[in-house]
Amino acid sequence: MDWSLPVCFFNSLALALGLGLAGALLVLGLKPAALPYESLALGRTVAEASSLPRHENLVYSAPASQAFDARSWGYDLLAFLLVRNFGLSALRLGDALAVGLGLLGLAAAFFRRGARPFSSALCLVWVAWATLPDLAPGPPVWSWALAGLCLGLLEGSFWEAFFNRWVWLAPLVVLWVNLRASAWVLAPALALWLFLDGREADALRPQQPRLAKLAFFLPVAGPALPASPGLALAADESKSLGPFAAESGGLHRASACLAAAGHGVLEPGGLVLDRQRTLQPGP
Amino acid sequence: MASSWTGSGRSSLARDAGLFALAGAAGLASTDLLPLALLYVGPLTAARADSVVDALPQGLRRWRWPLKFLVLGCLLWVGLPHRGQPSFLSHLPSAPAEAVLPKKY
Repeated sequence: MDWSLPVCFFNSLALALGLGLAGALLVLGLKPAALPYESLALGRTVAEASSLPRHENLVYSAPASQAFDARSWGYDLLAFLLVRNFGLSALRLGDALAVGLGLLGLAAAFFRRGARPFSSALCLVWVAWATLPDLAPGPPVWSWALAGLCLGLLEGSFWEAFFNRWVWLAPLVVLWVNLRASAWVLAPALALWLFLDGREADALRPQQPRLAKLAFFLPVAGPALPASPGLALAADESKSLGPFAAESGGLHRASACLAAAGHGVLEPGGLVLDRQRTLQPGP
Repeated sequence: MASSWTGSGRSSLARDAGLFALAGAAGLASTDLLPLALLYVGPLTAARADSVVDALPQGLRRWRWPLKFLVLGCLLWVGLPHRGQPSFLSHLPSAPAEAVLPKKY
């Protein structure tokens, strides 16, 4: 008897069930959390200023020189705009969407590593279950999802992935760095991945593989480095420093552009309306 | 470790060892990084376990499905609530009374 069809059906069913069970575990079992008031307040400040404020203006007791807390300004702005436009349930839906995207990236990683469907389903459920106690709604879930998507892009035959998929790491890193400071972990991981892999003969391997790897690593992983907690502890004002949220220099303009772009996408005309509102004379 | 002797395991041994060490160190250093470490370890575990199973002698390979179902049973036994022991979900903190969002948030 030919068992290939039943085995294929069983494996597909196991993988689908594993994905569903892992998703249900992560969405329904997330730690309860109060409304992220701090994120919403910070997001409102960023949205009203249409850029990142230089100094802290939410805490009355904070010294005037205290830098604005922009470690997760991307999430703050997004959360504020979502709640204002679509209500509180949009935050919950956003977290569920992040879990789904992260699981898809993770499933792609299983597939590209060559794991069998049943083993993949088992390990998917195990990862979801083991992750639950340390995962919380908001930036942690989004950070986890972006890491899963990055892993899905990274895995596979090295040079084929390098030339076909790794280019998508750049926008993911930009997003991740501005959502959560833990994005710095991608830099050492990417360095290890680049310089410990890709040595085997491959038709796609360039003549100068080290140069190609270095040319990829510096612009993609570089933005993640300034957000490291070590740097934040070393410099007094660097609490607010993400690579796209710097206090001064060219990257600050990038942060303003990103903030304005996010604001404009979610609320067309919002910048103009805000400016008009500030120009109106008081009663 | 056993998969380091298999063909597919040997080809990416240096990368996997380096990234596994990084994931372990990150997970031990911060609970914030532990979920990210688990993300990497999941596919690694599945693929390397499969490569070990594929390398087993034919006589032992027939036991791979009972072994997989045993692992699944262990997961279900630990994860699902049963008499005398609370579910792992009951260890999670409950929602604060002042929470505005639904309880599940």
